[in-house]
Amino acid sequence: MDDYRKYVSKHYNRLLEQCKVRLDEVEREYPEPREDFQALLKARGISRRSFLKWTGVMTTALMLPPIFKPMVARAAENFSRIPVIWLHFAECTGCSEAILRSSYPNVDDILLETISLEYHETLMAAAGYQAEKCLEEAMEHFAGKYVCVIEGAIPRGLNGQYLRLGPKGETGLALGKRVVSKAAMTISLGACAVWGGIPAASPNPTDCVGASKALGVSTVNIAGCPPNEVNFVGTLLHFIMFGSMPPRDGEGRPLWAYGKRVHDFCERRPHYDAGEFVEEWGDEGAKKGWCLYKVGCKGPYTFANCPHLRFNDHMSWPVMAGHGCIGCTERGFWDTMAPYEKPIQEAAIGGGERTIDNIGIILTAATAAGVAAHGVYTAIRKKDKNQEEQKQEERE
Amino acid sequence: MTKRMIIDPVTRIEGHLRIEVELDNNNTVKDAWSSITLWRGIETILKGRDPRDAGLIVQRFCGVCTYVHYEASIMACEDAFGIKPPPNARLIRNLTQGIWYLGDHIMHFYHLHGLDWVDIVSALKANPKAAEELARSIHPNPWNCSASHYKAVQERLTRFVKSGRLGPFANAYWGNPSYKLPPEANLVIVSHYLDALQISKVAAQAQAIFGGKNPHPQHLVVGGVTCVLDMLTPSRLGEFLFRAKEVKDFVERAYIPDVLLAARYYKDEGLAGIGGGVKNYLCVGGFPLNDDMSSFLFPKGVVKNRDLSKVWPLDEKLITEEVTHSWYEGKEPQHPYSGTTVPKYTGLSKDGYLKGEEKYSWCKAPRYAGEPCEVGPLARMVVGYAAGDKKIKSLVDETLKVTGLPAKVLFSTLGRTAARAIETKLVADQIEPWLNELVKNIKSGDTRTWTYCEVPKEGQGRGMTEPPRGALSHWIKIKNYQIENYQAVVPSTWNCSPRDKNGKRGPYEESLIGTKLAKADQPLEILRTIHSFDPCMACAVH
Amino acid sequence: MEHYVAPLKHWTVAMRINHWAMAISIFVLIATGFLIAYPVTISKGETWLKFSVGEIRFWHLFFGVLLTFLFIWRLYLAFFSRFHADWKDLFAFLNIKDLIHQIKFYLLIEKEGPPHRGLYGPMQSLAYLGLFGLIFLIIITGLILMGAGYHAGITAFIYSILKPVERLLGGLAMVRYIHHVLTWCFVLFIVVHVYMAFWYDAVLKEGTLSSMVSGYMFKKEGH
Ligand code: HEM
Ligand code: HEM
Ligand code: NFV
Ligand code: SF4
Ligand code: SF4
Ligand code: F3S
Ligand SMILES: [Mg+2]
Repeated sequence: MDDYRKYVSKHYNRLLEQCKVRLDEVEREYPEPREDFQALLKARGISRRSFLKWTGVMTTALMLPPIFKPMVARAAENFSRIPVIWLHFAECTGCSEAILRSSYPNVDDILLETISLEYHETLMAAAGYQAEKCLEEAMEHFAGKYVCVIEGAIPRGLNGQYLRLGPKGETGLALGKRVVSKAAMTISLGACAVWGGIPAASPNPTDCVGASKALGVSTVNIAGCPPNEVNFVGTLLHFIMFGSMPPRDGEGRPLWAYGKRVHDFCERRPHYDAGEFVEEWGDEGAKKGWCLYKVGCKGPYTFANCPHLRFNDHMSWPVMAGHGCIGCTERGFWDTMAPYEKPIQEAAIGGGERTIDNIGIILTAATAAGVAAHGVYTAIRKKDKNQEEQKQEERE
Repeated sequence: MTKRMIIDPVTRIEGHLRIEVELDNNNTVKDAWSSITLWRGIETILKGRDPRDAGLIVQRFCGVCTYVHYEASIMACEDAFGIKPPPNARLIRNLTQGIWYLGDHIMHFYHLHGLDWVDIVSALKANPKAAEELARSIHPNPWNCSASHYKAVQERLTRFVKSGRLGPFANAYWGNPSYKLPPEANLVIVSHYLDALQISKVAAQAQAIFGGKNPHPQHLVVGGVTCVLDMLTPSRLGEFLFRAKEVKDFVERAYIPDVLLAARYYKDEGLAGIGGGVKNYLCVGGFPLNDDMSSFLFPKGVVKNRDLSKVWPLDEKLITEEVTHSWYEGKEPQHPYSGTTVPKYTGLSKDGYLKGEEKYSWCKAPRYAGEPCEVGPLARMVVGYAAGDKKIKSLVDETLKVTGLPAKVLFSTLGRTAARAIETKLVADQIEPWLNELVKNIKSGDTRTWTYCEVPKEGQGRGMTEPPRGALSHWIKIKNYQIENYQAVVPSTWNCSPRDKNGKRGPYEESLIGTKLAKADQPLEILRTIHSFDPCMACAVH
Repeated sequence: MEHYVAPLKHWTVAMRINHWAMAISIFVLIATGFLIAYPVTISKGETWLKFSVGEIRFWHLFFGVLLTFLFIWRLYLAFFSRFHADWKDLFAFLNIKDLIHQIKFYLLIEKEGPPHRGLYGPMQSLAYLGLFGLIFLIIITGLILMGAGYHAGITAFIYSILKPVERLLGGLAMVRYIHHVLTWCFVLFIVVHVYMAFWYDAVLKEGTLSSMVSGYMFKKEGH
């Protein structure tokens, strides 16, 4: 046990060292912070104490031990140094909106307000040629340093021409490749950017895929439609602190955010275990906040921290609103989680409902009938045979 | 000699829009084309799915006006299933949409449209004391108004500029002669630019109380709403009201005064009718005030040729979409029930311009009785005004009186922006009464939030509503319990429409004709007019 | 005149215990499984006093894990049984001539089946091998479903190994769906399997039915 503890503390001390070196590097090599973070905290009325509390929460969220709290604080101060180039592809801007409407009043919200957006089409003042200039300048000045955030899927159909951007009408595919090639880290933000999301839902008419696949780079995948802004902030903090992507699962999602299922931390879980289910929208169970499994909640198949974080300053989350999760942080959920208001096994294949169970019942019935017929036939034949034998015996 | 100018990307909007204009020697726009440069094909994706699933899918048309397609789709299903949601559901739907009207319009005015009117760099030169006086000359108690606060904002901006990294404000049109506000006015509005970031979050939180989250709430089902638990929890209603009041306060003390301030300095453009565009206005009815959907906060109807003396009743059969100049297969105008969406991309010309004579946009061309129509806040106010709606008429008249401007000023870029502010006030005033109506209904013992329903084997239906950007309709056809056909005709589809087979321009295009650029290489005036429509391309092409 | 000789030892005790333990497990798993898929709502009573789905899940997992061990044991027997390692017999269906012969026999076209070369006839071998496959798949999908909800211990460890399989199958929802479809395969199997057991017993009078209890079968001998 002692050995283990020694090992762990050695591991974390090394990590801490690494973090310090990295933060020194950030402070040396990245441009000056564009905003005075402390002044903003003060202006927004956030006390030193609540800031410290936030660093504590964030440190735990990132699955780091408390000795990292000062590092998280330092990373926050340097947040506005990191240049961000934000690209929009086949998307709905819901992800941008989710990030911009982060919790308020909160430290996250100040961080996101000060984020150094060098290029973001929904917010930037310049348009057309002037916007193009912003992009080219940012790519040149901050080559190898900027974080590229990708929102939206990338259509590959028509050689990418389902999406063309900029005065030269470049395809999204070509532009994306150009920009990520010089990025220090690429974040795929939201289901569309991660796996193709809604435009990639069957039959995927424009052959949309996620950024990683389309552009051939490794990305941090902040899944969700839209994702929770805290998962985005944490990823950026991790980048500032370690200069790398956070540990990720097989789908490229940060483990600290997508390691556990919605079902595991759902506030309605006791009702699930107790067999208390909403049977119909607005019924007595719904009024009591019972489990939404029977009306299609996909929480049992969905890895996300929604029940922990909730949305919009912890205001609510889908299950709290009584609808149930549709699995928006999972690959291909528009297809694999349908129907959204029925349990998964009740999916209809080609109209009707409960296809698989209906097939099962029909096949079982048919088999039973077949078996019975076989039995009867065997019996009849046996009788014939016996009679034959008898006759033969008689003849003998 | 004319020269062609490309503006792509048009920024500070949702999505991917390209505008091309032809300028004469005088830098005046002679002709214009608007093109949406992304197609996702969600109408195609919907085919063969469970109609009840459509709402959550179509909601992903757009994360900015979020919710509205969800509602329209659910309403289309309710029409097809032949059911009506209970009163509580109608009220909760109005509340969720209403609160986001406030958030969305505020965000549009400050973050998307503001920099067309406001010169940030000029704000650095302002005298904070004078700014305070100016703000107080418009409203007795302006939002977050003090010389010291304005000074702090100025300092923050200065630091920003000094850092040499203007980020989203780089390479813009600062100092362009088309900016008309004095430094103090610029400073006041810029300070609200920052405040508005917070306020739209408050509106989003309020929507999330019923919706579970914003963007993309998740609380509607065919037949009603799911958030019965929140509805029955008094503290949740309290939290909603508390936030709604905060946002309403901002509307009254910042948004409206700032629009009036802008109007003071930009009234000449308004009077000259710059950015007026097509002359027909259409509204399909927004915020039902009763359960049989016969009365709306925004009455439905059509005003033709800017004739405020007559409102034509809306005839759904006259709504069509055609694709002569859009990248789809098809020739004749189609009614949405039998509409098709089959891509046929033909690209740009050799020198990289839109092929204006052929197909040039992913946007379809919706028409009403064959005519292009403007939809949105201005259309709603015009139709409501012409229909003699009391609330709308008195608010519009009052605003005109305060500014001392005639009604014709409405038919302009400025008018469109003002109409948006006016209707924001109209909706803000309605939130509390709706909430009270909800409470009264619950107290009377009616806690229903859902009407039982089943998917019919066959059927069709349409849902119509008025999202922030204008008239929205979803049309669904069901066969064998599945979606056979689904078409959405969206506000920005109306407004961003390309030409039709008769060569009639869409509202964006028409509104640019005659606009003069102060600087040949800076499309500021074009952006101002285009932004006044609050473009949303993900909505328009879905 | 034919007569029956002394019974032959056909199944060892181990095989018999294994078989019936598996049979019971599968019955329980099907029942509890469907109850997990379509849980019964218990409206009355205090939440904290009820644990119906929790209980059903417990028994499902209990028998699921039991089935996993039984299956491993059965594989062990197939390869290392001291009495008769039958893994080769499970490939009896590879003898196509016998296989066709057997099918004809089942369809009552032929009067006699092909000679037994190992423990199983060709169709039996195919059925049981297929069944082993089914059991394997439902165990894998079951372990994934189980691992997804437990974040510590050996379950989590196994889950970390199976995670790529989950991804391959299209995510946890698809795993659950496949698990559900496999359940129907078991239902179908049981109908046929039990019938065949009775049928064999009735037609061949070799004591198939009782062999799984006593371990002995009879061998018909000619004159
Ligand atoms: C009616 C009574 C039954 C008889 C006489 C019977 C007989 C047999 C025989 C002779 C075998 C092949 C031996 C072997 O490979 O171990 C077998 C295999 C099997 N039986 Fe049955 N069975 C019966 C009922 C059931 C039931 C009800 C189930 C399941 C619910 C079942 C599940 C299995 C399984 C899983 C195997 C293949 C695995 C294995 O070989 O161990 N059996 N059965
Ligand atoms: C013949 C064997 C089995 C049958 C027939 C069976 C059947 C089922 C069924 C029908 C379900 C419900 C699926 C749905 O919702 O559609 C289920 C769920 C499940 N099964 Fe099995 N199962 C078997 C074996 C196993 C095994 C071996 C394990 C694990 C070791 C396992 C673990 C689970 C788990 C964890 C669930 C999900 C329960 C939950 O989400 O709480 N099952 N099973
Ligand atoms: N156009 C549009 Fe929307 C709106 N409002 C919706 O229908 O923005 Ni995204
Ligand atoms: S992931 Fe969802 S919210 Fe984000 S862009 Fe795609 S559809 Fe919109
Ligand atoms: S509501 Fe959904 S996530 Fe919550 S316990 Fe029920 S099934 Fe699980
Ligand atoms: S739908 Fe998405 S937001 Fe969370 S609760 Fe489910 S993962
Ligand atoms: Mg459409």
